[in-house]
Amino acid sequence: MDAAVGEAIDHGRRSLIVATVAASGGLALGLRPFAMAAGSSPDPEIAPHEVEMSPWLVITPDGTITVRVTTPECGNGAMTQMAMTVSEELACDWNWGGYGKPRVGTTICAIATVGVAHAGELQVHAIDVAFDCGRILNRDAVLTEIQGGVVFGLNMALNETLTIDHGRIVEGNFNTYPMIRMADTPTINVHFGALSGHERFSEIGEAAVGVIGPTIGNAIFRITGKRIRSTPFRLHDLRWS
Amino acid sequence: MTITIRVNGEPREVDADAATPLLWVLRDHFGMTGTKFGCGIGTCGACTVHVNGSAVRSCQVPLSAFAQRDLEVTTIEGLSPDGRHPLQLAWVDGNVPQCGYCQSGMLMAAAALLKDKPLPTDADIDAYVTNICRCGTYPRVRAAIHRAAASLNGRRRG
Repeated sequence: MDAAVGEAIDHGRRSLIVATVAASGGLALGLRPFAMAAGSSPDPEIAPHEVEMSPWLVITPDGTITVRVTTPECGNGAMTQMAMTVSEELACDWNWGGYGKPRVGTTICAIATVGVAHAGELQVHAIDVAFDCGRILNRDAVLTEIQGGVVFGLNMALNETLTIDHGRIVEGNFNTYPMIRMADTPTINVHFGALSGHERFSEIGEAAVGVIGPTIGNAIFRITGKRIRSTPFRLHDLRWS
Repeated sequence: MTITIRVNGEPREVDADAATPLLWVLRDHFGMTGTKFGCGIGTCGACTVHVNGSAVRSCQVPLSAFAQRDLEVTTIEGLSPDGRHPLQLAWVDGNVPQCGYCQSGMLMAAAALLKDKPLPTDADIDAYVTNICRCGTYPRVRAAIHRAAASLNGRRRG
């Protein structure tokens, strides 16, 4: 994929996409076939006709890029996931566009207060979350969704994985699939001060999930100097001196 | 085996295999579906009921246990006659449940805790409430237990 990027440099919009594909690992949009296509025909003089880069990407002469997304929309029907996926893949500000609305999505950030013992034991003491979903209707419902999202994110970051052995999933029940419980739950502080009051009522249930792993991962790095690149963190050796 | 067991103060007769877990006696034979099946191996706590006042995981108690001694079972249906146990009030007040599936077990675990420790510490709550909640209601469960304990304690003093 690196070679494809090198050859595609200075191809304007197309190289932008290729670079984006490389940066994102071609995850969300099935872009692997596209990257191969770009590598095989790096013609700098692209003719001004419609170019079908792959089954997923079409570029028309007027500069319109059609991105076909195979994932169904999920969430609250505000076109959040698809709009964000597409705009992210096109390296656009993802508060741009979507369903005729000026901005979409929820911006969210988290700070983790974490301890890592020299022996490697990880403790998450507190998670602080601030967010902007535009406006809210039911403050307590928003609060509970974010609290739940933090716990869900903790499970994803620290615990959850499935092992497949000879076509079968090894983990069969909670004795082999650890989950966050009461004793493991950190203090969760949700801050409402970043709410912009913008007219959108954007997603809140799943928004907190995604930031928990990165914030804990960054905290681990600050303490141990180790960059953890995969979840669950419980499988990593966090010992440090 | 045919056996009579006391559930929520009432004698109930059941004819089932001696190895049938109490959970399924309650749910399938008595139709008391407030007690939930989660894991079937005693790790998740969704099936928590009281047996002689102590919280137990009903998926791990065979029917044959009731042949040996008199045991009194309390389920979520019998926690309070009118749904106004201090914990239930605190649960409503704090909007604790999300999907709700684990909450019967959470409430029964919390009720056993308050029986043993009327003013529990956070560590007590950690020790007694080991139930799994996928939605992540733990902060609210903890807060509601403290609120219920405070109201019970106030009532005793008053």
